[in-house]
Amino acid sequence: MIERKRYVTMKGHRGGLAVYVNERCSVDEFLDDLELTLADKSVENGRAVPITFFFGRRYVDEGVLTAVESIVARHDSFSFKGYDSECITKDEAKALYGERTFHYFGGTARSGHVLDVEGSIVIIGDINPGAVVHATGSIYCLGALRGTVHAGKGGNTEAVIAASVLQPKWIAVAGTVHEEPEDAPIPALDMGCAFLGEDGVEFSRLQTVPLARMDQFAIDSERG
Amino acid sequence: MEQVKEQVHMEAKTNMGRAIVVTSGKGGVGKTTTTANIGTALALMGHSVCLVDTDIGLRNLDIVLGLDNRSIYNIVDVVTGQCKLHQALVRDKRFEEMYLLPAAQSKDKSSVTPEQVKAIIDTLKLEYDFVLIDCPAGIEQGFMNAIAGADEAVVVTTPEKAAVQDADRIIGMLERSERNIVPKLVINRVRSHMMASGDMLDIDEIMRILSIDLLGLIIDDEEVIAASHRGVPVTMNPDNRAGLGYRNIARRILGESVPLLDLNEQPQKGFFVKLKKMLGMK
Repeated sequence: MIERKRYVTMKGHRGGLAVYVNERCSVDEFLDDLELTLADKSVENGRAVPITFFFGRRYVDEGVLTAVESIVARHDSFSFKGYDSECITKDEAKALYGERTFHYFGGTARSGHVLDVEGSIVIIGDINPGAVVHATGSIYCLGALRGTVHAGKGGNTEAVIAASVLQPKWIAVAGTVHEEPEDAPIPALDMGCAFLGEDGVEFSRLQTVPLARMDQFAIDSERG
Repeated sequence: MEQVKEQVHMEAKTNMGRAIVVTSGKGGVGKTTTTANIGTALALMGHSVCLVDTDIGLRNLDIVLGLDNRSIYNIVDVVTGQCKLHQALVRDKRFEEMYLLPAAQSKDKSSVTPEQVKAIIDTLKLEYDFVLIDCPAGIEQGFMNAIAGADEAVVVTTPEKAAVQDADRIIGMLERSERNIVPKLVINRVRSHMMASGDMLDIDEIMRILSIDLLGLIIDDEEVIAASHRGVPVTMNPDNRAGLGYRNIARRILGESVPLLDLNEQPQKGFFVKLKKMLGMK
């Protein structure tokens, strides 16, 4: 009997199985091999073992993924848990890059000025009343923030807004607008920070920002 | 000493004049009054001044100066070639060396282009020490016309949030304009008691927001309105505090360092005047 060439390797992995797929073979080759391997390892009336696929440096598109999922679905002993690949498309990379880019604006953003960026922004100056700053990431203002700001625009709920003096006219994080109570306007916060909490936008001194939020600062500073 | 004066005079003549636009964004904060008074104060100090009204369609500068019955031609006539530039200039009745180029009352802002205004300003700069340009309210073509020939800008605001926000917009536009004009601030209609009681933005707050050099403060004074009514700029009145404010601004434009008016002096003075009145001393 001729030994068949193996394109997939199975290993134990976090309470399930990991399937490593050969990076260089054709899609049909590894799909055939996967079919045979799964049939080989199937056990009667056992519980379905979750499989995580590792594709290495193979780019996996929707079609391949569907084929893999359907093969797994044909075998009762296994279930599809997820996959990982080291490759992404240029578009995905661009989106990721945009989100992780740090923009710098030197000078004061004056009334009528609109800054709309992909990623986070550092304003080396003030944001005056009437100026608008939108970012998909976080907003850091080295001066006084008195204008209109929206961080995490597009849905990043981890985004933060920090300023030497935090006294925004209008503030939102990830689409959640802060509504100032009529009777108690927010006083100007020195070294202030705003972030999304359970009940909407919350304000805090930078020094008393909850630890979980510090992660965002850490991530952003690593990028910077 | 005489020689030095002569020299200074010579230098002034050989150098190009300074074109300063007076602008604010918001209407009704005192651009025209400020233009008239700074011009008058500079003329009082012996400088030759030409005031240019670019508020075409809504001309006021001639009225504030009391020259409304003297103007024959206007800036649009100069641009369209109906008259020569010097024919359109109206000499002030009080000074040998102060002239006004009136705006047209019947046309609108699109009657002239920024290039045409710049050409006029450049010509005037050759003849006058100072060319003061009165800018219309707004940020549209009238504004673009007014700043086209300017080297410097005076931004007028009042201690109100709306005026400050509009001034901020204007400062942003000036800073980003091709001419790279660095604006200076005049805070008009200052009421120290309202600032003290927190019913108005105070000077520090305004300076914190706008963060540009402060050229001067003008106390809110009824005499300013009365002076405009009479067509005699208030700075002609040696005893008026608003007038003094304008003369101080003129001196600062000339490079002197003049301390700011003490805002607290006014209520005290008012109190003593009242006390004297009560005691029948006045």
